[in-house]
Amino acid sequence: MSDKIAIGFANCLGNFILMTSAVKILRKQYSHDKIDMITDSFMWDHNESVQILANIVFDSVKVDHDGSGYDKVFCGTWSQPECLTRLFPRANMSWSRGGSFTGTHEVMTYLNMIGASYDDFEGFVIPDLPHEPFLKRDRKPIVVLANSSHKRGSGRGNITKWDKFQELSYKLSDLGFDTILVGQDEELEGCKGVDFVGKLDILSTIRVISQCDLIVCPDMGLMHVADALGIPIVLLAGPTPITKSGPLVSRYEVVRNFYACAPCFQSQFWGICKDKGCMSSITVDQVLEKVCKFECVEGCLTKGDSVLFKPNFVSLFNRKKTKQELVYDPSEDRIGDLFGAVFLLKKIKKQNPGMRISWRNTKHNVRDNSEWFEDFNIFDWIDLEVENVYDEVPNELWRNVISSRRSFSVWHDLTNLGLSHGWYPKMKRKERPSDLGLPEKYITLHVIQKTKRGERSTSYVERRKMDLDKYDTLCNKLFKEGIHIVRVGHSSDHVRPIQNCIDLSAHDLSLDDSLRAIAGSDLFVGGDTGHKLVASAMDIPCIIEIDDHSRRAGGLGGCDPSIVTAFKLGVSVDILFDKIMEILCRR
Amino acid sequence: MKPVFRSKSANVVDFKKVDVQFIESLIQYVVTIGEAPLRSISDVKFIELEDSDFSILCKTMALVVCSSYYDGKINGAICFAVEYGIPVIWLSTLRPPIDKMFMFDLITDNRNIVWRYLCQIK
Repeated sequence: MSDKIAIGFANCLGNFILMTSAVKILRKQYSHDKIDMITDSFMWDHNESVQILANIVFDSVKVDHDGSGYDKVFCGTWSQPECLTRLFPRANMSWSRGGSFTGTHEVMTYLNMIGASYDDFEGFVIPDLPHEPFLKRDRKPIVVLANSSHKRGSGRGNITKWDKFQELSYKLSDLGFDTILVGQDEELEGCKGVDFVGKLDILSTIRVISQCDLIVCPDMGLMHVADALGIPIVLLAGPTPITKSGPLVSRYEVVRNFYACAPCFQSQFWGICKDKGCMSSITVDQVLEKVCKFECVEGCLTKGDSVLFKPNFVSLFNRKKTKQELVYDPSEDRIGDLFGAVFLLKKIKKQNPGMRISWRNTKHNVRDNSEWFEDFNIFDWIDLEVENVYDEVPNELWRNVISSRRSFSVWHDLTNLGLSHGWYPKMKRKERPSDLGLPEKYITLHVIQKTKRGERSTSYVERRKMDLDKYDTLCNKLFKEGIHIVRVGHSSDHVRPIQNCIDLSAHDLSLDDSLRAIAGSDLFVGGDTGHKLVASAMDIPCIIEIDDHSRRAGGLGGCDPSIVTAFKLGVSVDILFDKIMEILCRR
Repeated sequence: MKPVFRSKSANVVDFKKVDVQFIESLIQYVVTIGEAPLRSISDVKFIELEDSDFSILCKTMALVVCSSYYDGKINGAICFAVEYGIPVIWLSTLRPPIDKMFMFDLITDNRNIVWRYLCQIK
């Protein structure tokens, strides 16, 4: 016989979203049982958004009910139990206190309420969104602006609202962002952007937010909606504590100025503050600085020189916690990111057989020198089960699109997996290519030069530049020892040849052939490019010259340290030569 | 940024004063609670939190908590850092209290992972 379960809850939108973390776990534990919500008529009547969502999330909603007839009734501090006094006499009520303001997140009290723990948390419940597109997307990043309302919800908008959204909206527009305005009432009056304020119910608002790239808002209900959707957040923090109700799923940046009394939430200062300095002192420039830190926004103006120097790393393995289908977007990835991402996706798929891995098929590549990759098919190299290939990603899946340069870092995950689990990607080694005219035994060399065509790449830049004269000397020395060197890579762009080596790179070598040449070699020597990851995965010993910046940024992520030797950029010819000879002699 | 110096009561130990101006002049710094056994990172200073003045946490790169216990002072420092969006890392063989887990960006007992993490957010 199935149990009848209810959650007592009488609070506003933000708290409701946080409470759904408990519902998500209960639905798993009691998959065949009905889960109801018991609420209070006053709160129910004044929260239209909660009404709509509760009717979807719960099987039914009971207003002013005393809990009789239920086997289990759960209630927590933030459910506003003072409004649910009818429930108190119930012996079968599970009651969670806790929830002080000293570092306990509200979600934790909901988890305690149902006897779950931190490890059980799997995100929040958000209704299934309709398939029809709501917003027209172009290449511009879309930023949602939302401000606290003093009339709706908890009505604390007069304390937590920010007064410079108008100026922010105009500056964002000037910087090339599309802006969308959501929420209720007049808090965004005069702002520039597509105005949905007061025009949408909560479900439509969720659809709009889910199709955007970033939200800028104070601590309010829609911030938690964005968090549940995994949309990046710039959080304007003032009187409310992030420790209690900060985002848990999305990447986020906090804008908070130092005020001794902030956050004053429900302290003796709460509600009596006149100047509201903690919010009003936040400047538009501070917010813009944080907005531009998010590289996940397509076309964002300040792309860093390295994909790894971005805030709030979110591991792909954490992101996938809340997703059933991941749509990988390879459009900005070059060889290393591409292989790294596919290695990770394959590992995730192995760990979660039920998860669907899909592919975004895009001909548009933000990098100009993309022709080298056009004919390359990663699936010739790695076997990965792909569920769907989307020419146009359905709108409801936009939030599941992952890109190694925007929504997670391949190198972060690869590095951590190597350090913490000793896991390094491996793949089957291809046979020695017979059609490239290569000698029987040889080593491959991939020299990085700064090139005009490569200026927009992360690899072919000044700081990774290798010394061609040094490699002339090295190749001469190796040549005298009777060792063949095959130069691979793509250097049709005025990079001068290296003496005494078979220079395939000067002959319009395809990426596939370049990797095949490496597959047939005894040793790979080169710089910090994706080739080294492929070589390491095929168990080919590597000698890498890597600059400090790249090394710190995880450039050696995924490289098996038992076969990859990394030297600091600028290492001497003699050291390189000795190491090469040592490895070749060992083999 | 004006630092806040809390008034000392009789039972508060006279902690060594932190030179706030000096710290603010640094480009990047990581504050640690307890002695964190981490390798150095170029252009990053490691400063041990020895004062109950948490204002230096506002602009730190990260807070690394390396402690065998969890008390009010540690909790206060962590809460403070979280409020400013500062990544908080727990580096200890013991786990932090279960109800505080959401405050940490990284919980590990492996110092290499912490070192890597710091290198990446630098």
